[in-house]
Parts: sequence; C-alpha cells; structure tokens
Amino acid sequence: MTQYVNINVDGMSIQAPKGTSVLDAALDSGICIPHLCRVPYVADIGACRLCIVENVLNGHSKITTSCTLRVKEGMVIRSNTEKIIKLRRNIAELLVAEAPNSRAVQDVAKRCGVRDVRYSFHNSNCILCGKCVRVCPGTLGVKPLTFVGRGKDRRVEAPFNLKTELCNDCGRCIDLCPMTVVPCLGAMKTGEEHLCVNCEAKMDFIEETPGLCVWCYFGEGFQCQRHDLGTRGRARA
Amino acid sequence: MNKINTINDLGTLREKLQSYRKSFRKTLILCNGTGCQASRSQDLIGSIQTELVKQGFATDILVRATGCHGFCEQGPILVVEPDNTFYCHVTPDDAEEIVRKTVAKGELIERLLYTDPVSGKTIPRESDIPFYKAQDRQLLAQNRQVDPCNIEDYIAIGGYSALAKVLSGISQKSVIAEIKRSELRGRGGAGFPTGRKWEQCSDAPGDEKYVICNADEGDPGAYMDRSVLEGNPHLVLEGMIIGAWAVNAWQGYVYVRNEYPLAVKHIRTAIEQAREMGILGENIFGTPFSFDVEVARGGGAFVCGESTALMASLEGKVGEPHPKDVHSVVDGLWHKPTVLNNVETWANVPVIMQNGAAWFAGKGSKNSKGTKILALTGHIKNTGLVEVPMGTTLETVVFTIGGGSPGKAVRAVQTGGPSGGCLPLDKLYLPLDFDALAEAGSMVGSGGIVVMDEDTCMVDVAKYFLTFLQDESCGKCVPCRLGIDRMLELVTGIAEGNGKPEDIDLLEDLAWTVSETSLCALGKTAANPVLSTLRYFRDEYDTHIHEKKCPAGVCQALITYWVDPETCTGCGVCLKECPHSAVKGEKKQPHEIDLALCEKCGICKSSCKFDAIQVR
Repeated sequence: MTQYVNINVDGMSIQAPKGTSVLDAALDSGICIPHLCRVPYVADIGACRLCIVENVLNGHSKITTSCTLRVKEGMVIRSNTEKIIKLRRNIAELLVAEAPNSRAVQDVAKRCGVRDVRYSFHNSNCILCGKCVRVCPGTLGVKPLTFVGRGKDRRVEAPFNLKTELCNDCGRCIDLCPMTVVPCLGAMKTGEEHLCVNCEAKMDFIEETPGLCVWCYFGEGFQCQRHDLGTRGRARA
Repeated sequence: MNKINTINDLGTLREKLQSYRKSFRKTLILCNGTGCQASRSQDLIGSIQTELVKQGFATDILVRATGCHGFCEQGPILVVEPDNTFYCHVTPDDAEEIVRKTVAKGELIERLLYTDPVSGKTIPRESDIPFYKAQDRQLLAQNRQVDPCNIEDYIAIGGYSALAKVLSGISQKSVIAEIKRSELRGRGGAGFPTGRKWEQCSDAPGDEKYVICNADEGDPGAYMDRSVLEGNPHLVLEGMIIGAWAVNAWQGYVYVRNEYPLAVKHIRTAIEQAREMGILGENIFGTPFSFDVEVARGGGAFVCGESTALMASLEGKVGEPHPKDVHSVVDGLWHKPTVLNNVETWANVPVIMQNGAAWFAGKGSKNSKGTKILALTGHIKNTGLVEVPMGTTLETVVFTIGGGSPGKAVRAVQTGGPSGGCLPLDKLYLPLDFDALAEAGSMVGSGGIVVMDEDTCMVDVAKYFLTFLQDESCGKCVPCRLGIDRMLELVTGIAEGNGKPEDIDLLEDLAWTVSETSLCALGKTAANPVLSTLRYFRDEYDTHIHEKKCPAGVCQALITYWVDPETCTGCGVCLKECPHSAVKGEKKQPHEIDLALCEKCGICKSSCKFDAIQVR
C-alpha cells in the first residue's frame, strides 16, 4: 500500500505518496512550480534550477531544487516568496539570453516574469537540460548520447562524435528537446533585445494570479507535466 | 619488516628504533619535497651520500630525505642535527664542503646560512629563524623527523601510538566524544565540526561504511595537503584508521589527484608498509578490528574536490556533483554512510588522540580550535608553508612570518582560493577564524593565502578567478555555468573599458543569484571573488568604468606605455627587445613608442634598466 506523508506547500496542506519529489507533489496539487529539465518518471538531476523552493526547517530556510527534494513528513515549502521569484527570474533570464530562439525557453522565461534581458544574446542551440541524455534508452544500457566536456565546453554528443549502432532511432530525444518545440510567432532573433509582443500580453495574466497553474498558456512550451495531463483530459488516480 | 602482532610489540619496536637512531653521531636532514626537488634536491642527496662515503662518514652519519619543511623560498634546505644548523639554497656542489667542514668538524659554512633580511645577520640555528619562530608547528614539524617512505621513522617518533591507545580499550563512542570535545572543524574549507560528522555517520543505519581522505587539492597557490601527504603519509593513515574504528568502517580511500605524483607514490608506499606491519588489513595489532585503505587517483578536475563529485568519481562515474538533500554521512559512497575528511583534518586526529582534546581545544580562537596550515604565496618574501594557531591575525601571517611584499606595499590578501575573497590591507587585523573571515566576505578555505602588492589590479584578479572557475565548473547547472560565464563577460567588459555604470548592479544581482541557487559548493562560492572585490575595491571598478583607467596599470586596454625623455638614455635595449618594432629612436637619443604598433606586452618596461618606460 502506498504510504502518504503530509507536507505544506505555500500554506496548502498536501498529501503526497512517500518517495515522490516535492515538485511532483506540488504539480499534482495544482501548484505550478516552473521547471525545464524535468522528465516524468526519469531521475532528476537538478540542472535548470528553475524549480527552486525554500525549504523551511527550524526557522531557517534553505534554497534547493524541488525536483531533487523528496517529500518528508511535516515539510514546509515556500515556492513563491519574493526571493524565490527574483532568483527564478534571474535564472530564466540567463537561460533566455543563452537560447533566445527556443519557444520552450521563452515560455518558461515569461512564466518566471522575465521582461527584459540585461545580457547580450548568445545563440546557442542547446541549454544542456540533459533531457535527451537521460531519456535515451540506448542498447543494453549503453547510450549513444552523453555529456562531453566540462564547464563552458560541456555539450551533448555521441561518444567520440560518432553516431554509433547503439542508437536505434527511437526519436525520444528529439521529442523532449526544448529546442525543437515549434517556435512561437514572435520568436526573438539574435540582436533583438526584448521579448515578443504576444508574450508580454500574457505576462499580465501571470502577475495578477501568482502561484496559480497557468499550464493552459505556457505549459505547452516548456512541456509542463500538468499541461500534458490536462490536454489528455486525464483523471487523477 | 616484522608484523606487529600485539600492541606491546609496537612499544618494543619503537624503543629499538629510537636507540638505533641515537647511535648516529649526526643526522643530515634534507628536504626532498616537490618544491626542493625542482631545485635539484635529489642530486644534492646523491652527492652528499657519495661525499660521506668518500670522506669515511658513511657509518656514523644518518642521511634522511624528508618531505616539505615549509620554508620553500629557501630550498633546497639542509638541517644538521643535533646542532640544528640550517643551510639554505644548497646546491650539489656544496656537498663536499658540507661534509668536510660541518660534518667532520662541526664548523659552520657562513655563505649557506640564512640571512635575516631585517638585521642583515646570519642565523645559524633553524629554531631562531623568525619564519619558524612565530609558528606553532604541530603537524608540519613532524615532516622533518620522518622519511615518508619509511614507516620505522614514523614509529620511532611515536607514530601509531595514538592508534594503539585507541585500540587498547577506548570505545568507539569515547573516540567520537573526544574528537567532539576537541572542537576540531574540517580543514577542507567548509569548517564542519568533525566530531559531529563522525557521530552522524556512526548513528546512520547500515553495516557497510566508508571513510575517505580528500586529497584533491586544486586551489591556485595552495599545497598544504600535498605537503602533508607527501611528507608524512602515515600520520594521515593513522588518522583514517582511528576514524574508521570510530564509525565502524571497513574500507577507506585516499582520493588524490594524479598531478601529485610524489604524494601518490608516498601514500602508496605507506599503505604497503602499514599492511606489511599489520597496521592495515585484517586484525590490526592483533585486535578483531580490520580496515584497509586504497588509493584512487583523480583526473585533476577541480570540482572533484566537492564531496558528492568526489564520490561519483570514486564510483567510476563522471565527476559531477549531485544534490545533497541527504548528507553523505547517511547516503555517501555507493549509497552507504561515508565520512569524507580533508588530509589535514585526518592528520589532526592522531595528534588529538595522543595529546587529548583539552590540549587541542586550548589552541585557537573561540569557535576555531587547533592549528591551521597555510600556503603563503604571491608577492611575498617568505613563500612557504606556515602553521599557526587558529585565531592568529592575518597581519602576523603576512608580515611577521611572511615578511611582506618584496620592495612594494601589500595591497590585498586573497584567502581561501577561488572560493574565498580578497581582503584589503585595513582588514588584516582579522583573525584566521572560520566565522570572522566568512563575515568579512572571505573564508579560511583550505588555507591558501595569496598576497598581492600594489601593482595588482583588483578587476583583473576577479577576472582571473572567474576564468579559472569558468574552466573548472562542471557545467551541470545553469547558474554556475551561465552565471559565471556572464560575470566573466561583464568583468572582461569593465577591464577592456566597455563597462557601463549599471554593470555593477547587474554583477551584484548575478553574483547573488549564482551563490544562492547553484547546485554545489563550487557554484555557491564562485561569486566570492567578485563580491569581495566589489565590496572592498569598489573605487577601482568605478575608475575602470567612469574614467576608463586602470590605476594599477594592468588592464591592457586601458593603459599606454610612454618613454620618459628625461630618464631615457637611448641605450636601445627596448628597441631591440620590442617584438612589434613599436619603439623608435636614434642611439643615445630618447626613444619613442609608436602607439599604433604597440601591443602593450610590457617587454620594453621590464627590459629597461633606467625605469624610463612608464605606464599611463
């Protein structure tokens, strides 16, 4: 039988099955915590850092990613304090400045409240979320996709840059890649230092209803789990 | 080597070894650490030995090649015991004279003695040298008493007696209690109370537990751990065995970077010898306790000094940190409870067990006890390893022991490596204390102290550390990878004269984000060099941004070289040296620099004997 624990997210009491992550528990209860590098049912690595929350323990709050944090009885989580919102916006700003042409990144940046970007735009085609690497089944546990290099040289590549026979062309990596989501109409071009008009209009909506799940607007872009489930008209088990 | 079967055997062996040592008339102690080896200390040892044989002293003089003595500036070092004569900058050619005079007749060789830069007088005895006098060398002093490749040396000076004491009837709980009472805090950087760590690991469920020694030292300019592991590997081993007994671990690892070949060699030899003697392996000293240690070599990634990345690397995975929501004392190496301590922390353990917790807690400041080894480098007279009680002021370390900067004024002191911060001169009254330095925006860290003189540009220093961290970040999480990249972009812009006034606010905001949200300690502390330079040297950033000038004359884009016609003698040296043919002028006439051709390499300035080339 599944054991449940009680946690408190943003003042809301939630019952979550033991062993799930705080992010899963929150998403299942309709609390939207932005996330980008998460793949359902695959181990989280905490790379994008967008799902940061404050874990309040004995009066001290510790900032940590909710995807890697397992629920524990009596846990108190704050996901939308002023500090968290500001930090999340700064991270999203870094991401959108790195890969401005991805709709997924743009959407999540908008969701996090990025209005203008203070950095010059890089035109990367990978934000190293690692979804592809983690989801790749490979053959016999040997993966044709992996992270190569360190720091600013880190990239996703086939080992030794060879497409090996280990790849069975399942295409899961392409499905999940946030860079392959069809760009929205107002996608930024290199050198354009503002977000598109469409997106800014949606921003107002978010500011009026903070903490509310907005999957209907942005979830598709950054592949929010709630959006996926919502579009399938799922019922909670 | 005979196996030690009981604890009493150890005492008997020690007495035998001590009387053997006493049978020699004199002992020549030669530093053979990495620093001295680079100055040909191995040739020196060879020629000393040849000379001893040639002049007939082979039987009554003991030659001991030891690990680092600490005074690296003066290497290679030779100390003659029992007179405590100290010779510095010894070359292989001096061997003949040393044996003929000092060994045979006890005469001093004046030119090899250390000259005190203050009084100008020579100091014959090691213990009188100011560099050593102001220190409290609890761990480092042992380096010169032992040959790191000889376990018998270590036993002779009382080694493994702390272990014997522990195994002869001190319970595991009492060992942990003793370490807790000593208030020893981790020497690797974070300063976590060691006793508490052990206790948590000991209380963690599971029979399979591990202890690890973190010798993946990578801070630029820091080499404390290397010198301890190289010079006295058995001290570290003894600490690990005691720790393993306390938490009930059966296997230990020493994670040492492959760039430390001598340390790898010495710890391996030490482990071999300890196994042969029955100090490692099954039934240590004939007791039921069994423990073994293996050496794992790191590939040189800075991030592998972080505990979770180190354990991943040990497990054979990519050395990347992972979230620490469950601590490694519960879920560590191979998901088993693990105690990971720094080399110096382990080295302190036998000393504490031997002398008692009260003795250790008697040294140091309120919240930081014991002594700390520091690597003193940069623009300083006495480069080397220093061991002082915690709570000693930075002023004492830099000026009394280090002797200040040669010829120039000290501008700033960088403590704690890339994760630490730069402190200005007026903050040097601060004690070397985990909490006091953290409050000032820096940290004790692993103990690297880089002294910078007045010719250092603080924007350039921030740029240097950011470049280092950008290379060494694993790249896994966004704030660290992209945040450091953007900070470097901003600082580089400022250094190149493209800085905007709002860049400072952005830099502060970004630094805050990186330090709050990064995954591991590397990212969390990566902003410190920027934040501390911004805090104490804000005016320098402002000069770069508003006046487009580099006050220290370092940032190439903001300086121009010019020849002072008054002092230029027209000797033509700079004209010949300039690789870009930018210096023009007739012989015996003042020269000029063609700014269109000048690449600002500074070769002319360093080649000018008359100080005629100036930076503007």
